[in-house]
Amino acid sequence: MSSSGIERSDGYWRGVGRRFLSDRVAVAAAMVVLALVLLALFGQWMTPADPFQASMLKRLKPIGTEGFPLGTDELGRDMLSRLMVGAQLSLFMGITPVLVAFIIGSALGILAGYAGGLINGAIMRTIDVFYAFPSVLLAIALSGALGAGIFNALLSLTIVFIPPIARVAESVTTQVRHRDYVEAARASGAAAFTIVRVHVLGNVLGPIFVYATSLISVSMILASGLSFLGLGVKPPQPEWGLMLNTLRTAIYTQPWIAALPGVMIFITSISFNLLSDGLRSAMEVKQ
Amino acid sequence: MRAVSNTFMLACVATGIGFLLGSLFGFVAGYFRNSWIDRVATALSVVGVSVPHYWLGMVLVIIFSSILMWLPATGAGPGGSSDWTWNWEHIKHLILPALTMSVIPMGIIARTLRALVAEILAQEFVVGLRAKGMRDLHIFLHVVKNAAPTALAVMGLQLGYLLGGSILIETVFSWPGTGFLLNSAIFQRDLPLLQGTILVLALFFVVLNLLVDIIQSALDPRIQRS
Repeated sequence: MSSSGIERSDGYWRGVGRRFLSDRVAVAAAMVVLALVLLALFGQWMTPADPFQASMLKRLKPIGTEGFPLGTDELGRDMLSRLMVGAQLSLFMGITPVLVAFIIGSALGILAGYAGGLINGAIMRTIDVFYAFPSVLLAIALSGALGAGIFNALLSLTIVFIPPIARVAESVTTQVRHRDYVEAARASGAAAFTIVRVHVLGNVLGPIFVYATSLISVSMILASGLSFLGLGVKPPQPEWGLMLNTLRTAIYTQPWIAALPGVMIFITSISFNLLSDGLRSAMEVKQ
Repeated sequence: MRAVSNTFMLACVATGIGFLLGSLFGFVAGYFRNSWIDRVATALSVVGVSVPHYWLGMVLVIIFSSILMWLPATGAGPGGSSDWTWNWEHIKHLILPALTMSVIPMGIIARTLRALVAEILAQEFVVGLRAKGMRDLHIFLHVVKNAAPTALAVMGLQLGYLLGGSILIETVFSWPGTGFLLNSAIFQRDLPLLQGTILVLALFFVVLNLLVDIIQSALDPRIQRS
């Protein structure tokens, strides 16, 4: 591109893309995540058997049985089909809370960081209250008090993830607020909203986003954990955490089938973790 | 109170194991950065933070109780007793839940320490020590001394998290602790019991955080309390 004799530097995003693509682990993790998302979107039409069809005669068949490549569960339903359909609900339950918390948490954090003073104090001290509880306990206590159900589980997980995201957003925004270009924009008469939209948002969303992706893996584990306790998804809906719970009775008869849903949760959460690590180093975000 | 002491013991043992393994992995990985040891230790710590621990508990039960039949699968003592005494019968019941629980602090401590050790090694005083001819082992001791306050702080916080987050593991192993209490409170819709247990756990968590702050500033005079 230096035909005119002037060396043009690559854009920031091109650099991020190049660094990300040269990181083999991160690319592999991204592929797995992509495959899981595709499975969640289209898996329900590709199942080899009906995931809800129970059969008393075919209960707990071992892995590799004719017609049931991954065996059957405690009610004789095909495990492979149930795992495929379960991807949808499990990923939805894992990603939605972080997404909603990302929006609300960044809004709160940026507001607190940019406004400073009394507003900052009010928002951040309220958020500090949530730090009195370990996150697992808070999620379980909230959904235990609200009662079981998908919506309540999503709500309690969202509440759990808002404070950490808001805290990161606040600290990043506070740093950016004192930069010279923000001062310059203010001096030239830009309104507060314009400054936030044009100068602050672009500089803080990256770090917050990277932090939020690192929470997805926690969220997956917690969401499945809630279902595992019976606080999330209700049977007969296939969801990995719930399947793990109902198959717990079978660990002495068909141990490997009982462990299968957990393998899926594990693969998903480790891929999101590696993806987030890759993004962090590609975007050069400091922890 | 018995439930609290059961949970507290489980969490302490788990944090202890996690801290030992985690700091071993973290120091080794940070010291031999980018070698194969580093890669193995880093992989283990990523696994530690991403594994669903309740599932890991199930897998350990499958391996050690269902197939090998070495260790009991559930409970805290023979015959379903919930009174703890230090003997082999009881310790056998403790091994699996404590191992399962220790995976989380192991991963987090290893990750924190790896970054920290690399940062310390890049500082000038290390170059100075090398230049004056100090042996690697002695330099390593200096690094440990510098990393210790942070490692201890992370450990304290993790102990707090485990105290509150033990519910899933206690359910898997039917461990008679606070998590078990919480679980039964939720399903019997016993709200006073739920509130009480959560209050006690939150109290422990806050007090632990305070202790960590105090101990950290006592260990490392550079940290000033305002």
